[in-house]
Amino acid sequence: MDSVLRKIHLASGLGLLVFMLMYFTSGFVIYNNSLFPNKPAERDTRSVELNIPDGLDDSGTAHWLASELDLSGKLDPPRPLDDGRTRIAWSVPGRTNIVYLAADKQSAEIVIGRTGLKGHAVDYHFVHGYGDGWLWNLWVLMLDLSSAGIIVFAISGIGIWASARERDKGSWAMLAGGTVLTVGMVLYYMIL
Amino acid sequence: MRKFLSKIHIWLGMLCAPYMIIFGFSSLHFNHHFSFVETGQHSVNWERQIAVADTSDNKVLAERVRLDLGLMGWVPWWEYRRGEDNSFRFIVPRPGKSYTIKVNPERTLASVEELRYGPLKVINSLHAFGHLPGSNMVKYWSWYTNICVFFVIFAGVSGVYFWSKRKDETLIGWLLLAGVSGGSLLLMIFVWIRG
Repeated sequence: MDSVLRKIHLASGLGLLVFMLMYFTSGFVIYNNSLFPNKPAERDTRSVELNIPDGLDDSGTAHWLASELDLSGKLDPPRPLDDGRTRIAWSVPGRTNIVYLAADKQSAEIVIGRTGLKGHAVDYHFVHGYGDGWLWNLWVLMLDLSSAGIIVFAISGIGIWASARERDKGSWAMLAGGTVLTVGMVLYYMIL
Repeated sequence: MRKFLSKIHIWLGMLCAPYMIIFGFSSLHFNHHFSFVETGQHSVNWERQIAVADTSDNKVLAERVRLDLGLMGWVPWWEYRRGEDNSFRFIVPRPGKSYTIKVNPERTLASVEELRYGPLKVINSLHAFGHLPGSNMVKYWSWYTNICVFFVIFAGVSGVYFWSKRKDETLIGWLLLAGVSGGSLLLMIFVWIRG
């Protein structure tokens, strides 16, 4: 049993190492936002006339625009704005391509935003949701594997520790401390 | 040296294991929006006399009412609603509960709909939870979060070190490290360049 747990612990740790490190370091940057300087995003804006084919739905329009205007990235669902325009955005770590499609769909304003290193960290961290091409599906699959992997990593680690011949008082105290704090926080916010 | 690193790996691993389990679950939920996370949700209605000074500033008014009611939570500006009779409605969300508060025009009575969430939703709320107006407990979670972040980085590095010192499982280790982890790094670089 110990041998199996060690293999699982090794596999989940070594295999998902890079993605886990990426999520935790980018998460640290986001969580401790004030420690990292905010570099204002650079923005390039231009307007274009369009000739969108008839009969396209929102998704079809978005793909047509991406192809026609050479815009890449993970697609955010098109969003109608109060002024009648439609906002369509594609995100890549460090860059956002936004198209504000006019209500009559005859023209659009394109805004390309570029962020610094902090923006890169934020962007890497927030990619989620399947269904936008093989590249993004692969990334989101790695996110799922890393998320499940960290659970497996933790449980297998506890299992290895539990099956050890000797367990020192310090490790017991650490496990108790982490568990009490976590369960305590859940109960605190549920009850109070 | 190896014994010392192993002790730290185990001790911090035990400390951070509960956090990593809920962190992994909440990450999966962010990606998949599991409906079962919403189970256990129910509402309770209550009223309380309050005494707050009126103001035309919605944020200030919301904070005054929140403090008078003794509630922890944020007061998001996009939920402020002023009635034509000067009644005021706003929402105070927080982990575990969400309060919809209606204040009468005289600012003497608050009617509250308290939406209580189940444990899975609370667990999900703890992902990167670091600040909550009116809460003293959140700072302990903040420290714990930062400790666990450093531990994961340390565990990754120390784990590779421990594996490198082993005589067995070298082939499978190399396949995982170079193949899967190395492939992950190439994926990140490819995404960054290609978009």
